[in-house]
Order: sequence, then structure tokens, then C-alpha cells
Amino acid sequence: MKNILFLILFSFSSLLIAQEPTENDYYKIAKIAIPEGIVLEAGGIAKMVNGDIAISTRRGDVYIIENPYSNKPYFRKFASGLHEILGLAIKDGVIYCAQRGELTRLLDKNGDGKADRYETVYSWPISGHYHEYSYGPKIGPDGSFYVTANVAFGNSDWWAGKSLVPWRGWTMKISPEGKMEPFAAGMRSPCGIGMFEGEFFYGDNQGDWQGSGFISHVEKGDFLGHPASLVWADKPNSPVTMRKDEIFTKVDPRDNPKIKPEFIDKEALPNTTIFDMRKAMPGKGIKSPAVWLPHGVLGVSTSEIITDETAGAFGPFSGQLFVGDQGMSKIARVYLEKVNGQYQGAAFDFRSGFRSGVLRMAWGNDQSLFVGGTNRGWGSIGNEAFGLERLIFTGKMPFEMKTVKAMPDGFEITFTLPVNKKLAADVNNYDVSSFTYKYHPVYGSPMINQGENPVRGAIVSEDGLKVRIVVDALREGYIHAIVPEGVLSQNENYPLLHKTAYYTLNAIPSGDKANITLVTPKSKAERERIDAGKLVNTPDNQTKEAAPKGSAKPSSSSNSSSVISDKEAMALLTKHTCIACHKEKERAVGPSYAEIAKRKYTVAEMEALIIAPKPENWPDFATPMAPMGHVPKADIRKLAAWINTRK
Amino acid sequence: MKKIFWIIALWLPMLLEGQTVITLEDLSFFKPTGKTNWQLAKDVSTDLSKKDGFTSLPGTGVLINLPTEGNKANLHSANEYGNVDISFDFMMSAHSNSGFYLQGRYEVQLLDSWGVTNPSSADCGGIYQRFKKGMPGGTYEGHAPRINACLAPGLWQHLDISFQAPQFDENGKKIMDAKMLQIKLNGAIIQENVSLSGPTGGAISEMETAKGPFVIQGDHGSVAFRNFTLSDLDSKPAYLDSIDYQVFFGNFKTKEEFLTKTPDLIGKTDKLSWDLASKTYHFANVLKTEINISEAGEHQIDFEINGKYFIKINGAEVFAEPNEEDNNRKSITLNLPKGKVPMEIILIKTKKSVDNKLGFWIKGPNFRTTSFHSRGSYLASSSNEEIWLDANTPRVFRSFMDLMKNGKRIKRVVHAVNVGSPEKLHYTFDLDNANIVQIWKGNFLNTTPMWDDRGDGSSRPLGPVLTLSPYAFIVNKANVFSQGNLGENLSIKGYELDNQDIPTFNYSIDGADFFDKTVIIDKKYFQRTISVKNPNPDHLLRVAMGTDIVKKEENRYLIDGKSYYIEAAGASIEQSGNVKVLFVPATEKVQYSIIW
Repeated sequence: MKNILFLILFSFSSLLIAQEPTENDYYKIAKIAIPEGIVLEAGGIAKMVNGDIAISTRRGDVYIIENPYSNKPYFRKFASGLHEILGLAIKDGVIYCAQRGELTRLLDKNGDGKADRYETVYSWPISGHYHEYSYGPKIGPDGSFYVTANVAFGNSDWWAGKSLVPWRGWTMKISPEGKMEPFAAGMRSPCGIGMFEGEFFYGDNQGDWQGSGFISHVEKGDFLGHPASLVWADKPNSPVTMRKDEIFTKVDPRDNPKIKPEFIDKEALPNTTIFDMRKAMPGKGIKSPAVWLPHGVLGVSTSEIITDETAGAFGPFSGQLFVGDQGMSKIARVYLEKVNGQYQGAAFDFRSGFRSGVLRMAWGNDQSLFVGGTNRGWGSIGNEAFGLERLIFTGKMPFEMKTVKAMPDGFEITFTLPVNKKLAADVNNYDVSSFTYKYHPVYGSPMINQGENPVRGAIVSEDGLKVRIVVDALREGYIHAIVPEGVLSQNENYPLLHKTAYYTLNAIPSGDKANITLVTPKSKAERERIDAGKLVNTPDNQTKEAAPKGSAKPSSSSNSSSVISDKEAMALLTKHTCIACHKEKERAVGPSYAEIAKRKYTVAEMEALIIAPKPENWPDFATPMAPMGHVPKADIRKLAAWINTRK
Repeated sequence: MKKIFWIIALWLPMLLEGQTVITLEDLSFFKPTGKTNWQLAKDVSTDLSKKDGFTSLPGTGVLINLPTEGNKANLHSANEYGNVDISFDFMMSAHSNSGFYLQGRYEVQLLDSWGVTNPSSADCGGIYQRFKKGMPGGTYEGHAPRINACLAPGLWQHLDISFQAPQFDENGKKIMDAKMLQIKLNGAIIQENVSLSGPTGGAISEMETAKGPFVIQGDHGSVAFRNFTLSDLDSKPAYLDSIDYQVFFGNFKTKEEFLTKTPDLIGKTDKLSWDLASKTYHFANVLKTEINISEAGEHQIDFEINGKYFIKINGAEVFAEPNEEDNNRKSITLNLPKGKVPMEIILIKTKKSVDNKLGFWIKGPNFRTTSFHSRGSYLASSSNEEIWLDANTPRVFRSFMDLMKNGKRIKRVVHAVNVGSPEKLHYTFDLDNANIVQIWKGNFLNTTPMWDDRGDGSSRPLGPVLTLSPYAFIVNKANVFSQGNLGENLSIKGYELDNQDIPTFNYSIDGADFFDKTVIIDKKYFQRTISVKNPNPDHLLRVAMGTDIVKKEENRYLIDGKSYYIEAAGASIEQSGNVKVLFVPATEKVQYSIIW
């Protein structure tokens, strides 16, 4: 498959492009050799003062990696015997870590290079449930420590998050002297933690009461969405004013220990979202996500949040956030802005292909990004049990949307390289749609209330780095998927490296509308007809051409029983985010297609399971599949037939 | 109506028909020896270090051996046994030596092995050596226990032996060696499936036979026994007649959907199996056979089957599986008559998502568990990898830790610190109660539950555990019997490792600051030293809690029926109901020992 030339036709201009660049052309992943015998299931990473890297493991060890920038790093075991450490930070040269049950300070008093004092900074209650992971610390500007705590689950209602002892499902703020202040509630599985502009941010992933992954700004007294934690909101030192009962006036908790709640489109109470809750109950500290990370697209299990503090040494995204994802073994990028005093912004794909699940990140001395991975039965696309890698910027400029800002009548996109102005000024080269997630006790949510947002105008700046698009039907509280698919770079005619920005529009800013004559874009169907024209060398056409004469099968639309080509299947699997969790032959977050094919489901059975998955059929997998009811049935049928040929 | 009861997913020890308790009201179980070294007593005790230092209370129930020169006979059972399970309590006096011989020929060593780190075949629980000509690498064959699970002299220990007799053909030629199927010492499995090529040293005969007496060695030192329980398992095991099977293809949910149809396959086989046809996705099986029972009585029947299934034995439906999600092993007990007992199993494969499985076992009043399934029908396998953690140097290791008592979890210690040693004596410290909550010997930790797959954050001791008080260590006069935790007044400060990596725990409560260090003395026991800054005169330290605490001599106490010793100066006993507490005032320095 070498040197295939893609011919892409756009209205009147045809451009010849070499093979599309990939992430690897701009950001390289360099593996760090781990000595045999060390099971480095990463839980925390931090940079020591001299640039050495401290890394903590699930097995309770803390290693200090000396000379980690060379090809001969040395692993010094600094501490051991700690309880599943899921975070590490350095303060005044001293290592702090969160164990399952306490925040610990590690000191080497006698100077022999390993810790001999294991000091408890603060010991928090824990019931001993497997899911009670604790993460942190992150250090605030005042020197205090932020630690987050997972909820447990019920016994018979194993799907329902529970806070069995105080401060499970909370963020705790702990002073250097070890005084704990309950800070905010509503967390479910708050593995994603980070500081941005001196403020604490946290990320959660899909689960009960959490429609999808996201990151949120966390302020004292906030409620982030999961009700279990509120059982402690009445305690005297709780700053949280939100109460469970108030949620249940808007959402039926369906709290039945015998019946696992499943998605219902129309319940007795009208569908609501966490954004609606916030609007309906002002002053209660309800926070809807600053930025949603659509499930299966930008991640399935949000992990570390880290700010680009490299002032350009790591590429064009200085000041933005990177957010890891354990299940998809990748890193997303987030641009944040403040509108009406609240954070919101856009999320983009950034870099995938890490060898294990991305859990923790830290900046090295040389402005490369250390990425620590673990798989640990949670499942991940990079299916090694653990890994430590560095992500290094090559210095070449990728063609990306650098920022997307909300405007009173649309968005302003800044590009990293000048765009082809002619293409960028054509509204037909943009696609904008919007959706949100339901707030309910069900595990995850399908995308709901999907809608199209016609692009009515596009103004390109003189330097070609900025485009302001005017978009119809903007909705507050919705995720707007902005896809400038037809926009190419000016010099090399490259398409965007990542074509979609997911902008969480919590507030539409006020201000002047664009001074431009609005146009009507071609309908989507019209544009698709152009794309499918005879001259276009789509992957599907190529397959047809490549097949020997006579063996070409009728197209799938004319004969539904035929099986689609691998290429077509891959395109559909990518489009519907199946590849986020499944691989063809290997186990990932979910079972491989080959493993599914062995079950010999009929197409009808598989269709039903894709729309309403039964996680109990796959007890060996940690992450339940999201219901994929929004995928068109025709596509599901095509994919089901294709999967059945994989065995 | 037959008596049926269920035990779900658990192997619980059950007193089945066929088990005999030897009362020791008299010595009639044994042959007369003509000597007086074997005697009955009500109770016995001994010194930690003095050889042959038994003192006894007159009475019955305990068998003691007090050998003297010229008066030190071995003790033989009156009856002879072949396949047998036997268990008993025993107590060694210091430096004493004895042995328990199966069939008078195969010795399980009994010895005061207290303090031995790496046990050999000559240590307690070892299969004693036998002379074997021409064996490469030596002339002696023996089998060392996996770990030293032996306790201190003067404490009651427990041994369980499962023995399989040698087997002979009709000409009397041995066709299978005798086997120690399993030996458990103080609850820890120390031997499994050890083949004995011939009698061990000191046997009553070099000639092997199908049956022989128990022999207890009486000529080496003082030893005591009680609570003998034995199961004679020498009957012929139940077996199956040939099985008539029917296979129906189709996606069935109930048996009515296919029972009236013509089967797609019929045939005969000699083992139970789900795996009768090459199509294995949608099917139902009907298996009909007869169990041949050699002796009427209670039989324990275990089965582990995936799918929906119905079992009929002797005309009655003994199990109908309504919940197809539950594929755990089930156990039922049935009174079965002698002779041919009809059995029918109907199995419906209802779910594609589970692997097929059919395992079936039966255990009679006088025979061991026998399986009736084919090799491929039930695969003994584990999806988990085992991850163990050694303590070849002192090791401090945190995890959740379940405290067990009589096989049941009494508490999950959530801020637990496990401390392991190369001497193979280990303990768990509960930071929330400043207490040593359990101690054990042998290997350190099984971390599989924490590190395999998602894990549950807990680890398990790898040796015989002595569970101690799970409650607060520090109390005051008013709450000396408290069954609570230390609570929010406790401030946990952590621990510091010395240059040998041995931790000193630091915590404070009510203004008093505690430094708490436990070391191992003579590779034998724990000595805990607590230094207190600003001691609080109201504080009492509970060094033991139990149902039974007896002062034995100056500063030494026997806890819970001679399970362990506590050695502490200035300690007091208080009792409330059936709870006793041994405590000392929290002065600037407190030291006590846990000896077991």
C-alpha cells in the first residue's frame, strides 16, 4: 500500500496531495527501557528538581529514574510497600503520594538514597471496596494538596456508585500540616486531576450519572454530578450546599438494588442534562463540565490533566491542556477560555499510539512529555500491561486548529499554519453539528438531541491564520462538533491533522455579530453527492478498482446480505468510534471482533446488542460498552455482518 | 422425603456419616503395651524450654506420653486401616520428638521444631526419611514440609492427614505406592500428594500391606494428644454404569421444548459430559445412567455445570436450576440406598456467552471424592496468575487485609501494614487501632487479589494465621472491654525504618506520643516495645483479648485454650462475661512478647 495518491476534488479546484501526514510526523513517542523484573504499572509521575523522574507503581514502589533523557536511564528504587499509589508530586524537593488510604510524605533521613520515613500527612476513611481508588496530590498555589477519592459500588447493585464512608466521591484539600478540608463533591472516578491557572481541575469518565468523560473546574463547595457523595454534605465541615433530594426532583434515581437501570428515551420526568440542572438550581454550586470529552471519540477513561508550560518548546499549544486517556491509550488537547467568568472551550484529538493505557504525565527538563501507562485489568487499546514513554515535539508545525473561541454568532478558529483562503472562505468546507448527554443514573449516555448547525458565513483573516464562522442554531449547554474538513493549509495543501473540534458551549458570549452577508450552504446530502462523484477516488472506489474483474461484489446498498469490504468496515468503525474500544484480533478495552465472531450471533442479535449491550456477557472486561443507539441501523447491520466474518 | 441441603460455592468441612471420634475416656482404642508411659489425663501443660517438663491434671480426654528409661513403648491402634483421614490435636514438650505412623509404616514426624526457619523432612510435619538403596544423590528419601507451621512447646497444635493405602494386584504385587494425599499443620497445607516408595525409618515392618495400625512413637520424648477424629475410607467408591445420552440441536429455553422430539443424536458413553456432539452452540443433552452404591448412607454430591440443568437421582428431582446466571459449584447431601441408583441429568445450553462445563463428584460415607465426568467436560484451571510477595529481607507492605476467624471474615483492615521477615514470622499492624491484629508463620503474602487484573486492594497471608484482637490497643479504665476502634482522636504519623528496614510506628492520642517497634527474638517470637512520650496516666494497653486468659507463671499468660502465650510484666486480667482482657498501664516504656 505504498504511495497511494489521493485525489480530492473540491468544487472547482483540484489539488494533488502526497500521503496525508500523521501524528508521528510531528510528535514522536520514545520508549524508555524498563529493567526486567520491574512491573512499572504507572500510578504517578513527577519531575525531581534536577530533572530526574520519580514514578510510582501499582505495586507500591517509587522509583527515581536517573538520566531519563539518555538511552541508559538508571532506575533507583526509592520507596516500596505502599498501597497502590495513584499519584505523585514533588514539593520543596520532597516526594508526596496518595495511597489508597492516606497522603504520605517520603523522606530519606539517613541519605542512603532510599526513603526511611513514611510520614502520614493525612489518613482518610476508606471502606475497603476495590473501586475506592484515591488520586493525587496536586499542589495548589497556597501549598495545599488536592486529593480525589473514587466512590465504591453496591453489593447486589454493583452498578451503583456509593459513598460508604466520608469523603468518597469528594475532592479533599489538605494543608501542609495535615488538616483536611472537604472541598467539593460529586466525583465518581476522579482519576483526572490537574492545575490550570492556579485552579484545580478534575476529569471523570463515563459511568452512572456521567454521560461521558469531561474535565471541570472545581471550586470550593461545587457539586460535580454524582449524587453518592452527597450523603456527607450535611457534615458540619462540608461546604457543599447541594442535596440528593434536590436532584431527585428532576431525575428519577431508579434506586432499585435488583434492577440495573438502562437508558430510557422518555421517562416520566423530562430528559435533563447536568447543564440544565445547573441552570435550574443556581447558587447550588452545580458545575457542568468545562469541556466534554465525547465518549469513545476523545476517550473512555479520563486521566491526567497537564498544562503546557513549555512556552512553545513542545509545539504551538502553549498554555493549553493535555488530557490523558487510559482506555484509548491516547492524549487529547483542550483549549480553555472564560466566558461570563466560567471556563469552557474546545477539545481535540492530539496523540494516540501509546503502548499501554495513558495514566500520568509530567514535563521533563527538555520539555518532552513523560507518559506513564498502565492497563491493570481496566483494559486499554495499547495493550501492554505497563509502559513509560516520552512524547517529543519534532519542531515541525502540524496543521491544526490551534484554538476555537466562542463568538456571539459562531466560532473563531485559529490555525497553526495559514489556510488556503479560497477554501477556508467557502461555508461548504465546514460541518457543524451539536449534541449533549443525558443526566441519569444509567451507565453512560448516548448522544442525545443531535442537531445540525448550518454554517452561514466564513471570514478569513488577512494572514490566513484565523477564520470566523457564523453558525446557526447554537445551543447553550451543548457540545458543538466543528469539522473544517475541506480546509487545507496554504503552502502544502494538507488537510487538518485532526479534523474535529468539540466545543462545549456553556455560554454564548455577547458582543457584535459578524458583519457579513449570510449565505446558505449546500445541504449535507448535496455535499455527500459531490463527494461520492465518479471522479473522486474514495477508499471504496479504490477497492472496487483493485479487485480483479468479475469478482467485484455488488455494492452493499443494493444487496444487504453481502459483506462490506475491510476498508469500508474500517471507515464505519472509525466513524462510529468502535475502534476506541475494539481491535480486530486482540483484546482491548472490549473484546476483539474475532472473539465476538466466535459467539456466532446472528446479525439481528448483534444489532440488538450494539444498541443495548449486555456487559454481563463479558464478565472479564472492566468497562461496560456504551449503548450505540445513535448509530444508523443500516451501518450496524453492515458492521455486524462484517464482524461475523472475522473468526 | 429426603433430607436435602445446599451449600453454595463453598467447601465447608462437614461431619459426615462415617466419621469416628475417639473419645479417650479409656485406652481401649489402642493395644495394651505392657508399659505405663502412655496415660490419660484431663489436661496437660509444659514449660517453654524445659525438656520433658509435662505436668498433668488427673482425668481423661487427653493422651500423654511420659517416657522414662525402660518404660517407653510405642502405642498401636487395636484396629487396622487402609485409606483413612485422621486429625488430632497434639502438644510437644520442649525439644521433644515423636511420630505418627500410618499403617505402622509411614511416619509423619512430630517434633518441637519451634524456631526452625527452613524445615527439613526431619522437622514437624515432615515425611520422615527412609533408607533407599541406589537413589542418586543420597541414600535417604524424605519429604520436607512446605513451611514450618509448628508452634511453641506447651501449645495445642492441630494435624490433619489424608492417607491413601498402597494398592496390590490379586497376586499381592504392589501396583501403586502409598500416598500422603494431604497433610495440614495448624491449618496450613504442608504436604500434598507425596508418594511413599516404601516404609519410612522405624516402621513395624518393611513389608507393605493393604491395612495396618496407627502407631504413635513413644520412645523419644513427651508428647500429648486429644480430639482424634478418623474417617475410614476403605469402601469401594461409587461408580457409574454406562450412560445413555440424547442430544437435541436447537436454541432451547425450557426442557419441554425438546423432550417430546426425536433426539438428533443418541449413544452410549462411560463418563458424564456436555461434549457429545461436534455442534456445540445450541443444544440440550439428556444423560441417563445408574450409580452403583456399595454402602447405604449419606453421600455428598457436588456439581458444577453451566447452562440450565435438572438432576434427578433415585426418581426424585434433587436439583433444578432456575437461575442460569449462577454457574457456581453446588453441593447436596443425599441418603442413598445400596445398589443401583438411577440418575438423569438434563442440560440446556442457554447462553452463548459462557463456556460449556459439566463437572460431577460424589463422596460416600466410606470413600473419597470420585469424579464421574470426562476429562474435557470440566477443566480444572484458573484464569488468574498467582503473584506472591517474599520477605527475603524485612519488608513493609501495605494493603487491605481481611481478618478471619473460623473461616469467616470478621473485619477488613483498611489501613493495614504488613511486616514480613526472613525469619518467616510476619504480622499485620492496623494503623487505625495501633494494634498487631494477626501474626503468621511461613511465606509472606499472596498479592494476587490485589495485583491480578483489576484487583480488590487486598493481600492474604501465606501461612497459618493467629488472629488477635481486632479492636483498639489503647483504652482506659472505663472502656477496657471496648470492641471499638481508636477513633478520631488518634493521629497516625507513619513509620520509620531502621538500618535493617524494621519499622517503628508513630502515633499519638490524647497528648501521648507513641513509638512502637516489634522485633523477632531467637527466630521464635515477637517482642513489642512501646515507648511513650508524655504518657497519659489513664491509658491502658490491651496486650491480649480472648475468651480464656490464664496466668501460667510469673509474667507469662496462656490465651484461648493454649493457643499462644503473652509475656508481659505488670499485666492485669479483667473479665466481663466471657471476654477477658490482659492489659498493662501505658508507662514510658512497655514491653511484651507474643509467643506461639
